Amino acid sequence: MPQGNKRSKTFRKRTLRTPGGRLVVHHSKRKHKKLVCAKCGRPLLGVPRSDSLSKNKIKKSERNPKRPYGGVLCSVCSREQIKLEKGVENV
Amino acid sequence: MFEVGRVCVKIAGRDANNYCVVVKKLDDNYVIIEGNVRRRKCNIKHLHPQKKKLDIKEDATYKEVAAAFKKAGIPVKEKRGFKWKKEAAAPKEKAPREEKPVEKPKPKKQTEKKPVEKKAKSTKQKPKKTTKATKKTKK
Repeated sequence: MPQGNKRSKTFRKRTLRTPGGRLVVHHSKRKHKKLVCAKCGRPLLGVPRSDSLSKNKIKKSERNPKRPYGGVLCSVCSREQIKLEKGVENV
Repeated sequence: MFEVGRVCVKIAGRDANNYCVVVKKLDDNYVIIEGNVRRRKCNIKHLHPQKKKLDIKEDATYKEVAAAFKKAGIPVKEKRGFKWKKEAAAPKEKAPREEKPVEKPKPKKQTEKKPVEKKAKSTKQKPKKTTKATKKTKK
């Protein structure tokens, strides 16, 4: 029997065959969902699919884009947002 | 539209949301920008033009652009590692000092040293402590 906390659906179960021919079940945490843009809902690029613990192991430059609204809005929506902030002054 | 002196806002990259000005036009698609961003070649798709236009010459330096920004009322971000050279101020003319009349030093008064009186030893003697044995004897 697995541990009580591992019987929930938060864990992903994998059945593996050992070298001795035995079937065992391995429990591992599920990967996080893809982050999406807060405005349009498109999946964000350049943001890793990882939980907060493994995020600390990644370099700071690899965590999210370094532009304003990086990791929250996609590139298209962030451009529109900046244009709105600075005023639409087309010449 | 993107001529020399045109103020723009950068909308892509890590310098996004900052004001810049076109310093040089390379071709129909690319310009060189300067201002609150790194001086660099930039695609015009990454720029949002504004109504303002600055009076600067082609290939203007950061110092000239910053001065023009201040004139136009655009906030200037100081670049990392850039130092403004202090202009040499004109030397101040010193007023001639008025010479004070030299006073003769006063002769010092000879004071006689008073002999220090030694404190007399206190004649009072501390009362002797009574021990238990003496108390007993008193009783």
